[in-house]
This record gives sequence, C-alpha cells and structure tokens, in this order.
Amino acid sequence: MNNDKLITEEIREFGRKAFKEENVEIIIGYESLNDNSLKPAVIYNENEVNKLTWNQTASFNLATLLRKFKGKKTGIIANGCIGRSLVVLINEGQIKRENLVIIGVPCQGILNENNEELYENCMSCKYPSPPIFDYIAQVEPLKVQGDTLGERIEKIEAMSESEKLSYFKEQMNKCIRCYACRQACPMCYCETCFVDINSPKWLSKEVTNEDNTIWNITRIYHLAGRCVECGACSRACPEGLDLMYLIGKMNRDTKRLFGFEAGLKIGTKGNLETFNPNDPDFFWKGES
Amino acid sequence: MKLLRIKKDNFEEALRSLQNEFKIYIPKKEDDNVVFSELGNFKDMDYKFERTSHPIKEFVLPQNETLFYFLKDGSREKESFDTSKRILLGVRPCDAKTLKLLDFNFLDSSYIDPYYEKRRKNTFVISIACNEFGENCFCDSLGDSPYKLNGADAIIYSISNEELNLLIDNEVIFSFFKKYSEKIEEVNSEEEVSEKGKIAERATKPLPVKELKEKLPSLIGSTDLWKNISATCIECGVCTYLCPACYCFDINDITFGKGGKRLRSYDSCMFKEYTLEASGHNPRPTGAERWRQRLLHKFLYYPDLYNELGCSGCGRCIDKCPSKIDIREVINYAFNYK
Repeated sequence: MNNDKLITEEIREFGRKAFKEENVEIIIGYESLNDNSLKPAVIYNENEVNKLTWNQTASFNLATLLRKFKGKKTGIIANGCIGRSLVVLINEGQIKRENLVIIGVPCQGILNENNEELYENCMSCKYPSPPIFDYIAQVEPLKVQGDTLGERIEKIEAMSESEKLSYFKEQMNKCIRCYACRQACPMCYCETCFVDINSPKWLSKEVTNEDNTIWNITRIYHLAGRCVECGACSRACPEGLDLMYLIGKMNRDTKRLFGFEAGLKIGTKGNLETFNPNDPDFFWKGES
Repeated sequence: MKLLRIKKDNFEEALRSLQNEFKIYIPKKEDDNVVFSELGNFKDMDYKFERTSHPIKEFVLPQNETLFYFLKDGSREKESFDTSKRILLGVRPCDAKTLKLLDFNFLDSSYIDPYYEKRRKNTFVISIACNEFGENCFCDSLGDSPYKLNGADAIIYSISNEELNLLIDNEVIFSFFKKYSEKIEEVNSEEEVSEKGKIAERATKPLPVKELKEKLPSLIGSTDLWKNISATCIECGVCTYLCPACYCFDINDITFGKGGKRLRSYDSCMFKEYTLEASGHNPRPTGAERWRQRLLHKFLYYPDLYNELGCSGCGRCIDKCPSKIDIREVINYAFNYK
C-alpha cells in the first residue's frame, strides 16, 4: 500500500476516535476534489469521516481556517507546516491547545500545481512532521532534498542593485491586491489589517507599484519570526508573484540574525517579542 | 450580420488599416499569465488567442480610475478620459459577454456612468470561437455555447492554414474588412453559419440555474447552507476581482498637499469591510452572509433584473480559488439543499 492510502486510512481512524472519544465538534481536513487534487474540507460528524483524504496535493494550510471556528473543539489534520502554524497560534494566544485534537501526518512533501515536482519550500523542509500532535500516522517523513529556494535567493542576492530593483518592480507590478496571500496565511489573523483601516488611511486603495510594494513588504515584515514557510501565500496568489523569494529571504535572515525559527516549540516567544541584553547589536548598551 | 471568408494575409492587411484608427490588443503570454497587449509585430499573430488570465472588464472598468482631481480651495479638474478607440482581438465568447453584462449595470437608462460609457463606446470586440473547453470552463452548462457572438462586434470561425471565417455584427468593423474578403454572405445569426470549423463539444452537464433562481428566495434564511458553502472560503478577492461580471467598486479620496484626487477602485463583497458601517455594525459579518450575497447577486438578482445570469461560465473563479471552491458545486449544492 502506498503512503497516501496508508495515511488516509489512519487519519480516518483517528478522525473517528476524535469524534467518539475526544468529542470534537468539527474536523478540518482535506477531501478529494478529483483524482489528482485535494481541497480543504470541514466535517461535522463521524459519518463524514470517510471524506477525509490525504495525498501530496494537500497544498492549503488548514490552520488558516481555525479563526472561523473559534471556541469550538476542533480536530485538525496537520503536517509539519500546519503543526508549526498551530504552535505559533498557540504561542500567540490565538487558540488553546486543549481545544485542538491534532491528527499528525509526517509529510512527504507537497507537489506543485503540475503535480510534477515538490514545491521549492518542501525541497528544503527540515520539519516535515508536526511538532505537536495527539495522533500521528506511522510513515517515514520526507528527508531534505536540497535547498533550491536558498540557491534561488542567493542568485537574486548576487544581482546588481538595478537588476534586483527591476526584478522587484516586475513582481510588484503583478499584484492586484486581492489579499489572497493575507487570507491564506494562518498568521495573518489581525481583526483589521492596516490596509483596511481608512482613518487614518495607511495605504491607498490605488493599485500602483509603490503601494503594492508597501503592502507586500509590510505583510512580510509582520511575519518575521512567525512565518513557518508553508508557502500558502505564494500558492494562493492568482498572479504568480514570487512571494516564496520574499518569505524565504526573510526567514533566512531571521535565522541568521536571531537564530530563530518559528513554530517549533510551545512556550517560546517570537524573536521580535524577546529582548536579550547580550544582543551584539543592542543599541542601548551604554559604555559598560 | 455579414459572414466573410478572408485569406489570413488579407485579414492582417485589414487589421493594419484598422490600426490607423484603433489600437488593437491581442492575448500575449507573459510568464505564466496571458494578458492583452497591443499588437505591434504581426509575427505575434499565431491565431491561438489563448484566453487571458484577466477578464476584459479592465478595458471598461479599470481597477484604478481617477474620477477627478480637486484642490483645497474647492476647484476641481476632470480627469482626462482615455478616448482612444481599441479593438480587443481574440476574446473568448464568455469574455465577450462581459460587456453585455456590465452594460446592464452601467448604461441602464436612468443611471448612466459617464466614465464607463466613454470607455465602452470606444471598445470593440472581435472574438474567436473555442475549439476546446478549458479545464474549468462551463459556459455550456449555463445554456451558452462556445461559438456565440454574445454581444461581440465580430467573431472568428474556422481558421485554416490560409483562411478564416469572420462573422461581423458591426457596420464600422465591416467597412474595414469588406474589401479584403473573398466572399460575403448575409446571415441572421451564428446558427446559420455552417462552416464554423471545430467547435468545442462535449456531453454537457447542465446546471439547474433556472430552478435555482426560483428556489433561492426560500434559501435566504437557511443559515446552515451558507455556513457550509463558506466553510473553507478564506474571504479573499480572487473570485470577484477575476470575475467578468463583478463590478463592485469603492470610492476614496487620496489627498496630497493642497489637493487630491477621487479614486474609484475594485471592491469585493467577499471582504469584511465591504458592508462595514460607520457605526461599527456589519450586516454581513461572516463569510456565510457574503457568500449568500455573491450567489444571490449572480443567480437571482441579475436574472431578475436583466434576464441574464451574472456569470458567463469562464471558470476563472474555479481556476484561481485558493480553497478550490467550485461555483458549479455550490450551485448544485444549493439547488439540492433541503
């Protein structure tokens, strides 16, 4: 039996248990859209458990949907990315661990839209299994395939300033500000996003290169030390902006400068929430 | 209507003569997207005319539109309208329908939108019949056909290596092609064109849109239906921004120094802020109410007011939905809901 089938059988069994023994009200998982694609699904009772399916096209980050079901005891299917998102949301006080029943899936990597190869963030994934879970399917997770994203970032870094600027402008020109990136991101849970505040108006509704740049950079910076690099924003984008580069770059900087990666452990604070007097860059060091 | 048989070389000659008066746009591949771009080099004319990633509404209802500029002293200056005439060549029949559907709203006799009107008046469409269905198109399921004119000024049929058929429903456009054609026939409708070439065909799965329209009023209060439909919706603007028939807009003043401008830009009923009132109350607080609005507008209000669906079956909302929500499934689900 292949891994997908095995995982699917296991998550259905765990799903039944979650309804029976853990009294979850809903389970957030995936169901088959057609032969080669999954879509997110919310199921409400044990009879629907056989809808739950897993395969390598589970490209949507289910943790995003939790904000729609606040206060409900919820079962959720979680691979590494979703599991890490849950840890960030728990650490930030958005959800309660005791309200979750986490059905873990050691991830085999997610296939890109042509179902041909893994997404580049999956190739370099070091955390394919969820850091926290209540149940977990018994399969071997994906091993690191190589850092194609890192290599791509290095290539962009190596460009001249004017080349970089024109690459950046080209990307920002594509944005139509549909906010699919924001809506697909589990960490973009602000009740009112700064772009939607109209008094004061932080950002114009005009879709221009400059305003698109402000939007995308601000969103990415808000995710420093919070992004788990699941790639949901980049897959949600209807215009094909290279968001993977932006978040990849930001995550690598966060790792390099702060030694921090998001969503690995419950109880840790984000790199921008902590303060270390031994920080070599600490601006207020005085003369001592 | 006139049916013309034209050699490809002559077709291009006619386009060249049209270029003296019109800007001609054709679909062009850019990275992974297909966009309308101005026809310069005729080598770009490969006669494939892929369906563009965005609907053609951008030509009549741009995402940003400055309505006028103003100064603190109260004076104002009208935005200069782009009055250049343009021909969109190689539009798919579902997209040709865009203008027909938007006209109902913007050119309704009692409230004419001058900005839309000026652009609309100068926009001409030469569409092309589809010879295959895209992954998620469903015009046939709505009772439409991939060979329909749908309000276009002309439509291209039956392209061979040397020739094509052109059905024209506009005197001005006809005057440019007349002298270049091999044969001219008078016909009354698309149906009478016998040589259409290969037209996309399949066993159509009809959608119960007529029946749904009758049923929708009784479903307005079915809270669970709307909750279930919207359960996995992330409430972004993809479906509405890319919809050929969605036209909702927002108006904002952008100020700088002693003046500013009044801007019209796309809005989406899927956004929370769309119905947020100044008091803080939101009559459509969750995705459920917003989905109800979207479905009712397209499949109840539009046919009620204009006798046409607010949907052309282009399938972009299905192609691009981050949650992979399929409007066809939603229609069936709502119709079968008990």
